[in-house]
Amino acid sequence: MKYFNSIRAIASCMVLHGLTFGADDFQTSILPLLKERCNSCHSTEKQKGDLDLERFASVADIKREPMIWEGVLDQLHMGEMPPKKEPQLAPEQKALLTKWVQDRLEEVALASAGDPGPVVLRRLSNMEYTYTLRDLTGVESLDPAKEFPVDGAAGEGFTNAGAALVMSPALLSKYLDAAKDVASHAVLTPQGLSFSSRTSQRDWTDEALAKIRAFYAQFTSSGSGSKVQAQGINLDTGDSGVLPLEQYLAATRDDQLAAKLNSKYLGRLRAALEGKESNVIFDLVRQQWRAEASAAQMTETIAQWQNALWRFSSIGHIGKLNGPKSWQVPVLPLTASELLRVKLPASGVTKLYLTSFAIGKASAIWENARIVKPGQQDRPVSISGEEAVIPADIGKDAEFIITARLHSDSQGAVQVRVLTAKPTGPAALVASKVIINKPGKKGTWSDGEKPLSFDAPILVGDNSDMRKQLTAQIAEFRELFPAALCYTKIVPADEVVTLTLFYREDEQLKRLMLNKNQIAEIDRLWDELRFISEAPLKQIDVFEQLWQFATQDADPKAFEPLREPIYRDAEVFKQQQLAAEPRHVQGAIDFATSAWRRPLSAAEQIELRSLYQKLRKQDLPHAAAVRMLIARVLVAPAFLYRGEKAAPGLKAAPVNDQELATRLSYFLWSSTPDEGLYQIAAAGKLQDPSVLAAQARRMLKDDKIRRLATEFGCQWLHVRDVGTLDEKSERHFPTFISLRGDMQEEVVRFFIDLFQNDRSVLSLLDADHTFVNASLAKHYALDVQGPGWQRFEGIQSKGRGGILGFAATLAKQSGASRTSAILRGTWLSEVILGDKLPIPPKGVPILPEETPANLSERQLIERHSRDENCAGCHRRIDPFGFALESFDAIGRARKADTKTVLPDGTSVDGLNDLRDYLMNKRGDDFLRQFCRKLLGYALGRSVQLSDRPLIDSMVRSDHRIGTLIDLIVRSPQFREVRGKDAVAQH
Amino acid sequence: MNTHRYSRRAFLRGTGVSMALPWLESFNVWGDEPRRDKPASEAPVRLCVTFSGNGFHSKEWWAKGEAKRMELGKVLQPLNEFREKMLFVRGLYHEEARKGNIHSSQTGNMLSGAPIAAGGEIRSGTSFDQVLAQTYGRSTKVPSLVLACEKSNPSVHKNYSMLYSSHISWSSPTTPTPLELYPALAFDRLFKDEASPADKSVLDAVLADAQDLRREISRNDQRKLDEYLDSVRDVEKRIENAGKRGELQGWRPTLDKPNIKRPADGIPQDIGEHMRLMMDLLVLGFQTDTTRITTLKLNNDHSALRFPNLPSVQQAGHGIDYMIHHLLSHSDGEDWLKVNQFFMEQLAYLARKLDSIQEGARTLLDNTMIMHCSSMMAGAKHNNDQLPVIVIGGAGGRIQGGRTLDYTDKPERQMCRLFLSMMDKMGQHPKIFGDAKMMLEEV
Repeated sequence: MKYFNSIRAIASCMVLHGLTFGADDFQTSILPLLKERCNSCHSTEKQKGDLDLERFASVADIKREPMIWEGVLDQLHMGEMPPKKEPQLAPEQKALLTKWVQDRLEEVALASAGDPGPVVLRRLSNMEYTYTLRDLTGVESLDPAKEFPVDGAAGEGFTNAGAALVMSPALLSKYLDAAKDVASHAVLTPQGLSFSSRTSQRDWTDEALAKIRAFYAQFTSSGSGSKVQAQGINLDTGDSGVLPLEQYLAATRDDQLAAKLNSKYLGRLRAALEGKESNVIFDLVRQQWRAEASAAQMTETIAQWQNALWRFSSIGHIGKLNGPKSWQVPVLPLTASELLRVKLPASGVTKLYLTSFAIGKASAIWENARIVKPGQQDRPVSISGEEAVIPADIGKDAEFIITARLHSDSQGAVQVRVLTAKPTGPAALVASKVIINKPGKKGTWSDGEKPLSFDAPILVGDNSDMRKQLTAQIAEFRELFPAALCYTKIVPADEVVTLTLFYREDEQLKRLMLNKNQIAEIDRLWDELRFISEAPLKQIDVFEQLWQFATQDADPKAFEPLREPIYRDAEVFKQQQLAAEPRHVQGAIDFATSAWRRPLSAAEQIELRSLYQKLRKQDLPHAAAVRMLIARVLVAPAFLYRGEKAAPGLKAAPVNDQELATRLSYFLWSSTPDEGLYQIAAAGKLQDPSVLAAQARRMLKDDKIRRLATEFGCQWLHVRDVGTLDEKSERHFPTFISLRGDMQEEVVRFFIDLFQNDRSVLSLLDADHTFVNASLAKHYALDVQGPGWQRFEGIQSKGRGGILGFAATLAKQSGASRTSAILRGTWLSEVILGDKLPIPPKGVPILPEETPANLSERQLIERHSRDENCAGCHRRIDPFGFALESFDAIGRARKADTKTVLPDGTSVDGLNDLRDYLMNKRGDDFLRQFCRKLLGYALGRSVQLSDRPLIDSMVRSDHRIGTLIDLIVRSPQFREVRGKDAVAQH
Repeated sequence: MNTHRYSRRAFLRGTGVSMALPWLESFNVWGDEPRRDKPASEAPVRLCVTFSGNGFHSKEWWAKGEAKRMELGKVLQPLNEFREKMLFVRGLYHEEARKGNIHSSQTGNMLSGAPIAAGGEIRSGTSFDQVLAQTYGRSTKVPSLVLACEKSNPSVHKNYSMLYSSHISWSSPTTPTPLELYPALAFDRLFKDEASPADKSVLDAVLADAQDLRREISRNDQRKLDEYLDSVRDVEKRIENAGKRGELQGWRPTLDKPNIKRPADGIPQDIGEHMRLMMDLLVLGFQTDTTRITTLKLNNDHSALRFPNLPSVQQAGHGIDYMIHHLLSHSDGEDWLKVNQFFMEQLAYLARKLDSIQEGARTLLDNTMIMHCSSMMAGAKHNNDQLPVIVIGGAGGRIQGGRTLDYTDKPERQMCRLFLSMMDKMGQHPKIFGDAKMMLEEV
């Protein structure tokens, strides 16, 4: 600011000085010259070319309309005026006039330096609109402007200038439709609003489910559990949601691994392994741990016991009469007596071994041993010692049955088993297999719990102390090693007609692993699923259907206990929905604050709320009304336009904090301020230039800077559409279509690198690096490894480097099937260097699109440019293009004559010489043009005379992009807006 | 909302820079709502402006003779069957379009004759089709339909925005009318029922927003915001008017609802198919009296359209690569002629379609004026001292076809005189338009 204040002070002095000084000159030497050489055509009467110079009778007149005199200067520079056939200005006359006009313009520039200028109210461009909606909703797939009319360009040639961003009834209807479409992505949650890439309740429900599953997946792994068919239904046996036990066991000896796992559980596991208190099952694991058995071995031991002490039940009908109460059910293999069964093969088994393992003082009594076969009388089997002898003639389908009973003297417990092979080694406690008995009859419904039996039961007295001890020890084991931490499937399908829509069972996870915050989070996710899916309301329908179905072929009474809770829950849910409604309306209002890029006034909030009420009165359901409210926010001028409040009168004044934040973020990101920028603006800190500049630096590093690369960088170089360019001859260049996207991507990546790494903008001319993928590398004949994008160093030695060697620019400035030195030369001259070229005359002879066989492309153009009418201009344009003739019409290297003489007489041969010339002799012109374009893009208007001091300071800087952007954002033209009554000067 | 005030304001702004006092004298005649109390006994006159860029073959755009004996140059051959309903006008031009650059400053004032601003500004003049839309067009559901078959080019060329090359229809001097390229969306624009009270409430709300915002912004910005205000009002009006069309007395359109279904989403691959589909829709708009004014830009000036289905004559076997509109225009050869004829064939398709619909004693073509024009005579020369223009259709018996009118050596040969004449056929009589003060008597 200081700098500009001083400039302004100097400027006002100079105006006074210049007035008197210039005025004398004007009357004595300038006016006579104008009268003699210009005003005969450009008189008030004739106004040739719509130009009247006669009316400028004083220096003040001239200074009032500097744009006209900038035009006069251009004409003098180009040698267009006076016309060739008229008497010319003598060299000293031309020098005098030029100098005098330049000086006056300089005075005007200084006097008006920092003028915010006439910025036309800007509608969001299609790209800005798209980026903004993506950033607001977080939904990257939104493409709301896909079918909008293409935006025009204005100002310095960019699509972010207000003049070219129009509105019409048809377009407004499109905005309304697009807003409704975006609103259809809004998801109503218990807390407020969120946005989804999808638009149906079913998809949102799936997303909510996925969030819960993702949460569970942080703690669990897929187990080895398998689907079990029982009673005609599929049981889920913890095939996911399993404790990743092996990792945890390994982590007890590996601190690095431990750091990655859940510390709460790991702590408990360690304590249990190090524990001293005896536990018959646990001791088996502890023994292994102390003996440093592998984690896999220990996991196997534990898994056997998990299978013995847990089982799974179906949950599709959970809660019905005599039905299961949970998915994961504890199993207690303790009993006073047990019937043991062994299926016998037709032959091969001659002996069975009755084994027992005593815990404490206990023994088993074996009795009633027999062989049973369907349709035959039981055959008793004799027992000798601990062996049962099987007769040889039992045939097929025979089964050995024996009863084991605890001896009445026993105080301890005894595990009994019937084995087909003689046991070896010392007896030990083993994990029993759990046998789920088949029901008596096969039914459609899995009604009722079936008794379990075991192949290795532990016999213990019913009310004995030992039973209590064992029960407690088993429970302790189960607590630490649940078969599953949680039911991750959530949507059960384990009954023919499943009633349960979503099933939650994650007590074990919560107990063993989650902290308070995590429990709150998973509770919230479940709440969200319930709310989004409206499961409690749907549950009624499902229940009634099931009821009808069950009535047809079974007794539905088993479901009766479920009826009341389901209906009650639906009522509770409806109340929850009602209670959440105000939060959704508030959500839409909060959304408006982000969308409108400023806080809402109290009146605006009231208006939004009353619109919601009005919509409800028009019979819109709550959700539809909320979505309409969102649509209203998105079709409002506060969203679609970047309105800036102007101070009364003529004087420029700073824009407010939010408007400044908006200017900055649309400049750098083509989108709305992010939370960080918004908060700084809200705190009133952004007006501090150093804070503003620091934000710009931060934003340059962000990935969203890609948008500046395409919207500014590519648009400036005229390559924004190369990715879709379809004007190339497919016959001549069959590879172009598949390469064009890569060509543009190279430019985008080059700019991103420039922005993010604060490089000098001169590197656009003299970079020794670029970015290529495999296809582009092949196009450039570079040797790179791997298909992905990578930085390539040393590109200059390959004859390229910077914008002159981009395939995108070379291809864009070529014809369909041949190169065009004219197009490339004009581009370099006008777009890159900012030279002013005269408008080509009408009725010029036309070049054939295809080069005749006997000529090179260069010769074709040289022949054309020999024409008297054309030669003057073409001498200024074509040589730039000739120097690039060693690249074909899609930018491939080729052999060609690249020797030429540039307009100022410099001889060059090829790209390297051309680059040296540009760097050494035209560096300032290039910088000035870059700065002019960047400033025009930042401001959304044409650069004008009053911007000259700013551009001068940019050109004099260190040329790093960060510095240039710093100078722009600190400038008054970036930070201020013209007064309300200021009228645009054209 | 006062509709009278609206049309006055829109009109005042619409005329913009070319606005002059004599206009106001004629203002009362057509500033008001069309009267509903006087039943129309005959079909209304419809206007269809079609445009193709880059001019035509330098030697083959001509017509001579009268009625059945009228002879047509090769470009116009495909329209031979309509020569008795065609007016061939030679020698008209726009003075303002002769200034500035080729292409980019020759087209943006095609239908207004207004001066075009350079230097990053966007300013031309309200085009005559939009002046009619804001007056005559207000009696139909859709005041005017502005269609295109090629998207515009977002850049600035030689100091002139390329918006100029792709927009002939201007709602105000600073508002090139956005173009509809999607047939399905054009169909929606005509026939989608927007009469939802919720939409209306939303529009009321944002209209109030805009009025509040208007008070806080600069005068220049207010002008820009007015585009938005007017658009909201226009859409609201459509909602209000929906369902009121039964009040029309006397003449009735031959269709009361569309007889084709909504076209598929997206843009047809084949350019001819795209053009014909757009023509089907505009005919449907006329036939149902949903709109009476349509502007169809077949391609841009400086167009990059390709014609893969037209085999090249000059370079047999290589049609696809070479048949690019702007490039061809420079060649001025057989292929260029072929592409010119392709455009005229599409125009013939439109005329044939209109002519096949009977509206009482006349056909729909007899009640229509199709004006086809380009921004230069020959693409090879970029010359626009004489513009190619033909009018097909009878304007409800007000235009006698089968004639050639030559103004080449006449002093007052402003193209805007033709526009004045055409506005006159639609009952609108501004005293001046653009750079013209009088109609072409002969038309």
